[in-house]
Amino acid sequence: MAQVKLYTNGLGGQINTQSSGTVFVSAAGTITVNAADVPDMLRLGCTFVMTQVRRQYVPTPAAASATGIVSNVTTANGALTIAAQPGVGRQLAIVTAPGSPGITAGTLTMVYVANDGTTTTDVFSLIGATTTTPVTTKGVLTLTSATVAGLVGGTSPTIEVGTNAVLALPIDKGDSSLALLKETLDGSDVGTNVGTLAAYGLYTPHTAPNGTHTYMVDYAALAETDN
Amino acid sequence: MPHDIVQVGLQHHKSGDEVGAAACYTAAIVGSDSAPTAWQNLSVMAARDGYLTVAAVMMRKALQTTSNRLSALSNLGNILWRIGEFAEAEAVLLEAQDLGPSEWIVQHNLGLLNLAQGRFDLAIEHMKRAMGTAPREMFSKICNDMGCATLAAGDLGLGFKLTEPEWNMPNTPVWLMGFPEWTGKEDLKGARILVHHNQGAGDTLQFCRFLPKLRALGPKRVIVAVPYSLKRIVQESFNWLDVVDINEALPKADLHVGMGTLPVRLGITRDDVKGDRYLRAGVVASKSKSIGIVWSANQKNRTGKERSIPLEAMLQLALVPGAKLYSLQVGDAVADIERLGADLLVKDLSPRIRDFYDLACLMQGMDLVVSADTAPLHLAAGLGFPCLGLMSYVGADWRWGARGTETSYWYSPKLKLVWQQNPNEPWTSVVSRAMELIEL
Repeated sequence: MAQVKLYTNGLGGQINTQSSGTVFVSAAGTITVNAADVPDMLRLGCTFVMTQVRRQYVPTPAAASATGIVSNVTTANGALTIAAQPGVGRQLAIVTAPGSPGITAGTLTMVYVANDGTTTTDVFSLIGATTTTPVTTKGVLTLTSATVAGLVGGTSPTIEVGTNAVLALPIDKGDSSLALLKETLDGSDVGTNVGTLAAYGLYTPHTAPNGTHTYMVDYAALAETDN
Repeated sequence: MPHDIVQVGLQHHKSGDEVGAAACYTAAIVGSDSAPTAWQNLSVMAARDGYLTVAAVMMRKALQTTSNRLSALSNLGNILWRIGEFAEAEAVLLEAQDLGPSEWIVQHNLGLLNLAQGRFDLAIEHMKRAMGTAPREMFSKICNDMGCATLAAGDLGLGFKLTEPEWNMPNTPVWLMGFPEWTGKEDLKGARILVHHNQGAGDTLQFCRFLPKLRALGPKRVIVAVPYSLKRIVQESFNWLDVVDINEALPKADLHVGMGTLPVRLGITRDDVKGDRYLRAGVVASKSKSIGIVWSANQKNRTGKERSIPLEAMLQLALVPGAKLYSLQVGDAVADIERLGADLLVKDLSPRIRDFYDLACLMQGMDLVVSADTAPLHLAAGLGFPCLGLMSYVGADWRWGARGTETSYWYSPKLKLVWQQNPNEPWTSVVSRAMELIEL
């Protein structure tokens, strides 16, 4: 259930809610409640926490590299060796080549510190007979582990983990309504040739990283939940 | 193989490559009699692109073999109400609800179905249930839909609050100018505040009525930044404002607020909305018994297609004794006149319309405006000018309230609303009923 942060606008102490139980007003004058309680709280005089505009400088991120994080290895049960970290927040892409006949069972579990500051776990199915390239749900600051389990089938299957062209901007846990406002490439405003900003702060610049480009991004987020 | 190709399609879909995804799904349905995921995803794409009838058939194909009936039923229900098949949509969605009573997507779709039918209390109830279990990234959307139902039901105070996360998107350059947003709490006495257009033209025409209430809070200067097309009508209507083009260099201020956010920041409630005239413009004289017509809404808008009326249906108005029809339509739809060979029945005035002020002056020289639910209707109504709004049963906006409402508390009784009586009533029939109200 989504959690939503609201200003109480003068309501103090403790508030009894239908869905969130008893909640206490923070020193900053906010409460966090289950989304189902939001209409009632708004009716009582609460208001949403406002949109914040942020700026992030991303100096010279490396070009995408399919094997930059985990080298190409034979897929086998157990932990994969992490060769390097992404450096700046980035989405990671996993290339899994099952061979033919393909893999009939198995998962890859990736645990990482994400760009919203949380420890996040993504589980990818390895089942299939064609090469696929799944990507992490969020941006990865630090990859903690990548583990294959339950593998059945496959014909000389291989796996590798690397980066793609998607960078990850810092957000707070619970930020939503993300919007890209302005993008500067190597000191010049790109005007309307801006990239895209998706959920979880995943930012695809109009011009892909190549190890020399520097990006400055203005973006906005609505802080809907407390950290 | 079909399973694999669908998985590859899903990968393409997830990465935003819809062309690649569609190719994979298409390959899957060619290669197999049973590819429900492919049918379902192709259906969703078709529905999004407006091919609703095709989308419904595709979703039924998915239902024939899918093991995830809840998802397919929910999607099918959502498509069916959009083509006006309300009874079947409800049956399908209730079946989905039986399969998963707490599934947020089913509750959300039931909410949208009831909203489209004008059953606002039920819509609010379903939206509230959806909000309780939906993932975080859906919160703003569901909150907004619930807000629209609440606004339509007449509770403006709560409705504007619920829509705030969606309507306050930082989509104008003002957000990068370095001065803070007015949250409604900061004292405005002696301050300079910049109000910026951040929704559609109709929204700005409707909400600019609240600018005097903002002025009453004592700011030293109120600057309004709007597109060129709205600049003169806003300036003429509120001569104490500084009105600037939002696409040109903007002046610095102490605080800013979006036009769409203004009602919530001012704490507007139903009691604050009077139907008084608040827009002002000059007049361009016209022949007697002249009727200005507007038939097409912005097609890029989510409900633009539903709210638009075929010009063919509007041409009946030429049968009103003595009436002369003038097109006040602008944009691509102007070509409909030539396409129908209707230039002897309706005179195209679009070359004389540079902006909403020109449009207002032309309107005020006529006897009546007949319009689809789009920005010129707000303009005519805000001018206090006699007008007939032709309302879509399915696509009508929250601001017109319950289906069948004959007037709007937002405007004077000179605005009369004529509704489709059911989702499938032909527009020719609606126009015929409207003609019975016309006295030139």
